[in-house]
Amino acid sequence: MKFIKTDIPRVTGLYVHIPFCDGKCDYCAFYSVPYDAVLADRLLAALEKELVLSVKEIGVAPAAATIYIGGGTPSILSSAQLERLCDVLKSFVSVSAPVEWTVEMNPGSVTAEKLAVLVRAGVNRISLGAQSFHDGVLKLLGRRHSVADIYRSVERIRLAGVTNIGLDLIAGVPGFGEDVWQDTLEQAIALAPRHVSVYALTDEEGTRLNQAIGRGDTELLSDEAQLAALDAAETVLTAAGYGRYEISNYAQPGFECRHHCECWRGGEYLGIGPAAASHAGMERWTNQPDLAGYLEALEQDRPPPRDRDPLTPALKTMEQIVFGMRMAEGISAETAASCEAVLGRLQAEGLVDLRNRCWMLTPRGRHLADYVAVELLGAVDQQ
Amino acid sequence: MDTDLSLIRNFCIIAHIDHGKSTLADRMLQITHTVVARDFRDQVLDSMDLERERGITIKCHPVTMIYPAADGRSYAFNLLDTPGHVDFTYEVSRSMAACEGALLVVDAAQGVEAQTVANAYLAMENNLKIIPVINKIDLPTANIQDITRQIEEVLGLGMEEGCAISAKTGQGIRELMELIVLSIPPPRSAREMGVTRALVFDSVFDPFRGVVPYIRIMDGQVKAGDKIRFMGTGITTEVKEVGVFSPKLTPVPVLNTGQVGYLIGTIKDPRDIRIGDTVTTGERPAKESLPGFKKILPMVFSGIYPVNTADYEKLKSSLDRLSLNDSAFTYQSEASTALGFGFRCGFLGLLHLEIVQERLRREHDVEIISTYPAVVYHIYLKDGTMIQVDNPARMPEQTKIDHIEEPIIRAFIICQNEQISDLMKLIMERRGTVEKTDSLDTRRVMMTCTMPLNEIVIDFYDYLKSISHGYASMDYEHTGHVPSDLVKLDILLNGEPVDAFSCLIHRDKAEARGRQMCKALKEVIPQHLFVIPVQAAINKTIIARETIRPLRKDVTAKCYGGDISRKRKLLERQKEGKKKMKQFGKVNVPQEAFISVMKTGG
Ligand SMILES: Nc1nc2c(ncn2[C@@H]2O[C@H](COP(=O)(O)OP(=O)(O)O)[C@@H](O)[C@H]2O)c(=O)[nH]1
Ligand SMILES: [Mg+2]
Repeated sequence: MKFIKTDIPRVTGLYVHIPFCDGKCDYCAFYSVPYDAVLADRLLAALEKELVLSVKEIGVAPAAATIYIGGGTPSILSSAQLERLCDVLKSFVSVSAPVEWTVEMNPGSVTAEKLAVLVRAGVNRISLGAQSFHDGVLKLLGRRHSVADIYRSVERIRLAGVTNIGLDLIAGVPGFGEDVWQDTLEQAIALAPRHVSVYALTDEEGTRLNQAIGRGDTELLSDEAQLAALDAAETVLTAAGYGRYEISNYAQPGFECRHHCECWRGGEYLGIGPAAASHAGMERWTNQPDLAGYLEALEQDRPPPRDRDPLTPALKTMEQIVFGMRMAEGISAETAASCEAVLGRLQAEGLVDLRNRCWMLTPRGRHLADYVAVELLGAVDQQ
Repeated sequence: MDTDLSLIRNFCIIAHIDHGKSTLADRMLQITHTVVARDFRDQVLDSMDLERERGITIKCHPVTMIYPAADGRSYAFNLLDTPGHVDFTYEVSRSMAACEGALLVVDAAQGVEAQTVANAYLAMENNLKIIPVINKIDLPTANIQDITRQIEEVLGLGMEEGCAISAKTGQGIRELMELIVLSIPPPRSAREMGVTRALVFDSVFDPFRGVVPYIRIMDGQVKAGDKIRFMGTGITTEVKEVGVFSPKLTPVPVLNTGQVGYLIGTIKDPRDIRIGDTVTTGERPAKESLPGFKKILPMVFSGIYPVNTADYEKLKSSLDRLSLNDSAFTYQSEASTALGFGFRCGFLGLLHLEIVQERLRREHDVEIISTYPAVVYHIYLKDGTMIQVDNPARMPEQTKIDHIEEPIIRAFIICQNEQISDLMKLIMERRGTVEKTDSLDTRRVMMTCTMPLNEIVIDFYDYLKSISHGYASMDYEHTGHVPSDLVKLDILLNGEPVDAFSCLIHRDKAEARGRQMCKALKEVIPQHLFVIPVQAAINKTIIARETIRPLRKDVTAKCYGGDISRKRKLLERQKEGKKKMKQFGKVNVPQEAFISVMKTGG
């Protein structure tokens, strides 16, 4: 007799967190520590061990259709280190060539040599942390690269043979006019990337920006001004042929980031490295953001310290609804059946719409996506 | 069998907070070996957690000690510890009704304080023999001479009848014990022969033994097997056990005239026992009950509502249990259009209110919302009748009202010379007048002033402490009602009046308070999808307005990698916050709103 086990993890993504940076950006709350070659070598060894342990734990090798190396600043690793990392990952992935293999790079650390190593390994997508095309803005954000570096980097990436390039931009930087933002958007488009992510500058605990705001030295733009900046991005980018497939993400048709889409749709992925998050079977877990603790555990062949978040079928459905709503395609009416009453009310308030049997955010709803999410969570509660 | 009355002394200790009442009581228990060393912990008499935390004694815990005196005879000392805070004057007077004497403890370094004065006056009213006791003479800053003069000048008591001690080191305690024997009169022998009369001065509830009344035998005796009757309520029961406090309840064969103790019958419902009632026996029935003592009525009222309507029954049984051990606390059900079903609760003062609220949250685990505290107003109607209103939402229509009277207090405020002008200003801002100023010593004065009670219920005490850097002390007594130009201030959210925020306030202060309340509410009410006007109104005329702008942006346009857990938990926390809010029409109001509105007093 054959059983079909439904909760066998179907891991299709692999995420690697490289927690090194050459400095800290003023707004960034992601976990990072200063780059150190010896630490980086120890990290690579530990990552391999974690991968072994995790694969053992979930019981299957990840049939990773996508790999995403993020950070931190992965490009800060040396060519040799990048090569070693790629070799390790390839040896574990059970498909010969991942459909999408992304590496995040920073304009300050993109070299032809590193790119050559990555391309040889199979990397086919580069996400470049451009953030702005205005040197004053870059300086204010605490970035350690110039606009010229962005142009040089894009050229090098193309020369290395990677055409699938994504650019990250930050909207709503205080102290600069709308024209500066408009100009950034236009220069970004002129480079013809496949993908553009637009993030609003946010006040996050533990950042220098947060301290400056606390001291009263600076303040975020008003809600209205932030919305205006995000709307401007939508206007410019959609006119240039980029579809807004998620609240913060735009892409030319067919170039949506598969790895991220899977995350939002409730797909399963393994994350390795300090602060990396995973989703496999009926569980999510997140490694603690602590490089020393991570290394110590794995060097003694123990799994790193993790925060575990067990899921239930109901929770999974709820996540699918709440996070799926952030995507342009929305969620099917069947999936969202449990939230119908709340969705009806949100529709009356002009925040969501039902089209082709799919619920999706309206333009106003996109401004209030978290509000919608909280209301939907409330609906799940009432069952 | 009669006890020798000359061998009994019934007394209480009264003092300003921290002057050493509990320490002295502990020392006396120790010296009389009432508490064996192993059981001894500091301040044995303060038993409730909250009391320990706040360093105040809320409830009196009687105790009987056997003291072998210098004259070779052993005396039974019945000590009734009393609460130190003005809110609990009621408990103090209950204890006093069962005593013949009082030890008035004064800190040798601090001198006479406001509670010293108020408590001394109360003891005098109750015809108690007062022994002034200067405590903490071990302190280098002790100033026995000055304090002696203060006690004489301010209170009219002579130190030749008192003594100086250190409750900490034990110095002078024996002398004090002897003084108790010598100057506190023993209980008077039965005023009426052949009858039994005992005063119920307190009661507790024991889940196994039912209601346990604490009694002071005035005439006759009570023993197990007696058939007794509570003259006020008419309840009868058979006595199963009588006993004394040492300090645990300890059975004795009989309680005789002058003795303080407890009795256990078969009384199951605490409501059958009224504090101040008289117990008599079937064998030796009394015709007349004892004078009892003046029952103090609650002075401050507030509505208490469950945050979750489903908690109504739980809240009700919690209030019921609380009221068993706190007869000064009253409650009755009421409904608010804004808050639904809840209870109107009466307290002796704001501290009492805070303590009850904290108990509900901590010991009974119910989430509650309480409304703006109010005092009892006398509303005289045009038809000549008077009604008492303790809830602004129950105010009759303005057109029916002839005039309103509000409760007034006489306050004793003791402060340092250089703070006089700031405090005078504060008193005047609170519509008070200073009747007289007495200097206590070269540094300090006592101001006696008259103030409306509703001006002090919220935060007067906090201001007093901050203006005086913690030095000033205050106590007060109630002196009746006087006419006042009061108006009802309403708060409207999104055009709808929220009765829970209504208050009665003097006309001159209404506008400023209205503005403050609107501002405070604007701060704590989250943005909604629509504009919310927050308005203050008198008789439907808007006198202040704030606007909560609509929520236009609520989106994380941010990269959060694959950490769905974290993001989900952030959203869940927001959802939980929303669930705890109370809905008024379409507006969600967080619990903090009720607290922050309360903080805008003055
Ligand atoms: N130095 C000294 N401290 C004392 C004496 N009596 C009490 N205290 C301290 O004064 C504080 C208040 O005492 P407590 O008995 O709690 O005062 P209560 O509030 O009147 O009950 C405590 O820290 C005691 O330790 C004393 O005779 N000498
Ligand atoms: Mg005490």
